[in-house]
Amino acid sequence: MNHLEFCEHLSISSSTLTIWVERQWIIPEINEEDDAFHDADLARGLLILDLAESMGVNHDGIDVIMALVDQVHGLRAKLQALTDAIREQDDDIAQRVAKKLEGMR
Amino acid sequence: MANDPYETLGVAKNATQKEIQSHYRKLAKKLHPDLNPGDKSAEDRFKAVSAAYALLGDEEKRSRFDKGEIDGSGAEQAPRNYYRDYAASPGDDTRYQSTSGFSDFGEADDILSSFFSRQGRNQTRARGRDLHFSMEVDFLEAVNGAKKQITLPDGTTLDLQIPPGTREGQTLRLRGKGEPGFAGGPAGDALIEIHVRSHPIFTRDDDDIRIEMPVSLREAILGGKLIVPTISGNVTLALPANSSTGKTLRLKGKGVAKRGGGSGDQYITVKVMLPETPDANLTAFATSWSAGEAQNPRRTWGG
Repeated sequence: MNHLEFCEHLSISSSTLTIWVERQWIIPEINEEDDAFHDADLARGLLILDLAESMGVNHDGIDVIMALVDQVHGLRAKLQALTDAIREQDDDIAQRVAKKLEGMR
Repeated sequence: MANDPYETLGVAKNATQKEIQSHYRKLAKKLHPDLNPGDKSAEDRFKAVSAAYALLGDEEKRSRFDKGEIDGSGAEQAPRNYYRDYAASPGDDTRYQSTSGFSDFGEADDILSSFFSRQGRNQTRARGRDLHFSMEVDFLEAVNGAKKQITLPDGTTLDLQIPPGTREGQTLRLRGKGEPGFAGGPAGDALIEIHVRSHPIFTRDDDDIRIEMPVSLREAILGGKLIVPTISGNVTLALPANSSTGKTLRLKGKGVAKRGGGSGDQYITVKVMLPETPDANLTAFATSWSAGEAQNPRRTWGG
């Protein structure tokens, strides 16, 4: 969807989305078609609305939260990949890793 | 959600709208699914809290609920997709994913470091791409180390320190000399694959150097002091008398510097060379040399 459609979906003004993009909470995809925003961006927009409206977080607070949310997802994806990779190893390797982790708790 | 929305929000029946809002905000911050990406139960509790607030946060609906006109689920929200559902399976859409949280994990040259750093392609703060080059260096530059200059396609030059003992195919990394990062992200690295030219005299065998040393028949029989090239200059070698082809001598510590300190050795293999043109005296001597007839260098073949 394009800028206008995105704003209609979330019932926000065009200038609000412009602020979101400027603050890099939403990053439009650069492509040939008029299709910069996806469902993931909508869901992100809902989160931003939740933060701003129902939780009363100000813009600077949202900056911090979005940066941390993105980090958490980055880390979760890496952790998932790492876990999958360990699962694919031979049993004794996975066992050794599990044992090592057990000791760290 | 059909249970008591006052209880869900943890407020009294006679709470003010302000108290209700403040309680809701406190709970929402704690339970929002996008702030609890791994906790499935947070979503259900958040939904319940949101539904309760949708009811009690609206004074009109609250009074209708209080009068029993609508039940606790009277204002349930339409099903909603949370951002975490997309973020969990980004596919090739990695605009938002950031792995900067791993930058303090382990050694930069660790085998796992590229896993932790490379795929974090957050467009806002992305690391620049690595640039790959290859470069030919002379044999002695590789074994002894050297300073080289490399000119990049864009005309800039980089100083490259070839460390002593560099091997064929080894890749040197110039940190931060790749493409610049985006929006404050770190620059990528320049990766230079080294190809070592062969040498007319020396060959390399791990940390050792091997050479073949031609000697005359006279030197082979009588032995003596010979000048021998090493990778660090000429040295004098005492060749024992009666050295046959294939005899191998060792010059300790004259090989390639090892990574952890110390050096390999240089091995010198003797190769006896007869005179280039037949010598009448030598032929006459060999003919009359009776002990020579008894020598059978092929006796191990049997027969």
